[in-house]
Amino acid sequence: MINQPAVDRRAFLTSTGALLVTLAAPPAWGDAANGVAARPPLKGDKLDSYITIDADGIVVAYYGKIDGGQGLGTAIAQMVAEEIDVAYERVRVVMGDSALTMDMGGASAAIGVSHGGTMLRRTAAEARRLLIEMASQKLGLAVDQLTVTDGVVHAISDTTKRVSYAELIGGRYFDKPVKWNGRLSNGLVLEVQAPLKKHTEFKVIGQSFPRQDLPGKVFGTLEYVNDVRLPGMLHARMIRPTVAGAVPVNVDESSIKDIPGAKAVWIKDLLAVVAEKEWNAVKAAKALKVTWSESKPNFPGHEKLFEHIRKAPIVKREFQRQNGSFDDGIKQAIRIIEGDYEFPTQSHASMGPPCAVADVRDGEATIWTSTQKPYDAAYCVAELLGLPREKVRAIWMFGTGSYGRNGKGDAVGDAAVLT
Amino acid sequence: MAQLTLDIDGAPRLIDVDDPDMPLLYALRDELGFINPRFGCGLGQCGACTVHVDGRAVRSCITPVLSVSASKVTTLAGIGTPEKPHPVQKAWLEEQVNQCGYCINGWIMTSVELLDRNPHPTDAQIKEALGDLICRCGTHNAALKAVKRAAQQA
Repeated sequence: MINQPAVDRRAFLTSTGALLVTLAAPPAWGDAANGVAARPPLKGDKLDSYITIDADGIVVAYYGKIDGGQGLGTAIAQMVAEEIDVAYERVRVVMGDSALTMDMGGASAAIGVSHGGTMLRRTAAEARRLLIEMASQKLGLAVDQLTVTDGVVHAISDTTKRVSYAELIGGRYFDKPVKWNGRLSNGLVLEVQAPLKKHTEFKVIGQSFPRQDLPGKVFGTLEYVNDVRLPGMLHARMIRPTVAGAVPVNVDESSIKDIPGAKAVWIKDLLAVVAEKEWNAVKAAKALKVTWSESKPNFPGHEKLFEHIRKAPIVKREFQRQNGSFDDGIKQAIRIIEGDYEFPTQSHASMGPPCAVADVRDGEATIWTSTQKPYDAAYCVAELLGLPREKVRAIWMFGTGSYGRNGKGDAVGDAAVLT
Repeated sequence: MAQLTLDIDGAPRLIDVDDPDMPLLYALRDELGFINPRFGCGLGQCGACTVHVDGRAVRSCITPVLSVSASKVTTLAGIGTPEKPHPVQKAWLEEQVNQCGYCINGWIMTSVELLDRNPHPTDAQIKEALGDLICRCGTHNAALKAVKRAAQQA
């Protein structure tokens, strides 16, 4: 048997089996980059929560979803550039960081553009409207005599009468409201005063731009979540049972005593090995002798899977949207096709293992993750560790791609609990 | 613990090795901080960990570190830079091949090796050379185009 070690003030990395520990100060919260002073607290009804302009006139769009590998950052930059009238290259998209971006649900349902993109388009249009108002005051010209070319507001008739976005607000904040429906995640909806451009006016949307993330991937310089390294970090590998429901009843720590720095960590039914060097954690995961409890899970077996699913009680029905009446509609059908459809259960497996890094100290936690749902991951960690939600920051990073849903969120929980 | 000097991307790198059987991948990622070779399957089956050893594409997750102590190791970051891209990297960007990009080491490093020994491969030869690589995003056809483009530009 092993003792459960005191593991406070440490950070751990997990990867299908993995973990790590740090004693250095965690990175500062907030957005001090690009000449933007500490932002006001994130609030759904504040324009500054979605869009800011830094001292150099770079437009920063705060996107509360993530890119599962499809290049969403590029699409969002185009949509924002279009509405606010700056060159595409002058938009920076911050994605899925619970300290910097509103909870817009992460990634699901293929609505990254239609929902998240549309909301940010509205904020970009509103920012443009406000900037033209500010320019109107500054230049002494009516709003309808002004237009914008690449982040510079100028008189339509005289381009020498001009003021740039950077001069108007660079590094400061709008402190203006947007109409927010009070919901988070995929339900977050914003309304603004400014109208959106018509599709016939588009100059940036609809064009094909090279993806922003690809050079870093092609030259091997872009950091994925798997590349996060903190001082003093330990690597972990999770030890899972081969049969569902089995729990460890005995852990023979002497089985890994010859592996430098390797230790077993056993918390309730969660079992892992940790080591300073990743390879030693890998070796320890293979070498650790564990006795598991007997478990005979009541699974239906493949041949009876669909029968089992059909007989399973319905515990919840949820209508995301209801338009009209199905019964009325079906009565009007010219032809009715009836059939039973079964689709196989398949893993949405990624190229690489789930991975997360956690740093838990002083009543706060920071997690680095490539999960599709960084906000839910943060809420989950808050619950697991008994912390208030606002004390857990999830930072989404690129990871191995998403195909449907995957279990990267589990690695977040593992890392946080082991830490 | 033994000390070992590796030649990586043209520079000597000294590491401490507890275990001579440790795969090269862990020396690169964990000991030396190279972020581009990636752990995919750990079984030499997907290619995400591919590097060149004396110009040959190898799977670093199953290559013992000791076996490359007298060799030149090259990683994706070592074949070209944004300022001086390798023709294959240039073609990869021009074709906008990747999505998540996790597998990219395998595809680019294997393609570079192919074009080194066969500068003008047929489609069938490209497919054969890249046949043991996995991309979960399904960018295979884009990769094929990129290799052909790189071959034309060379």
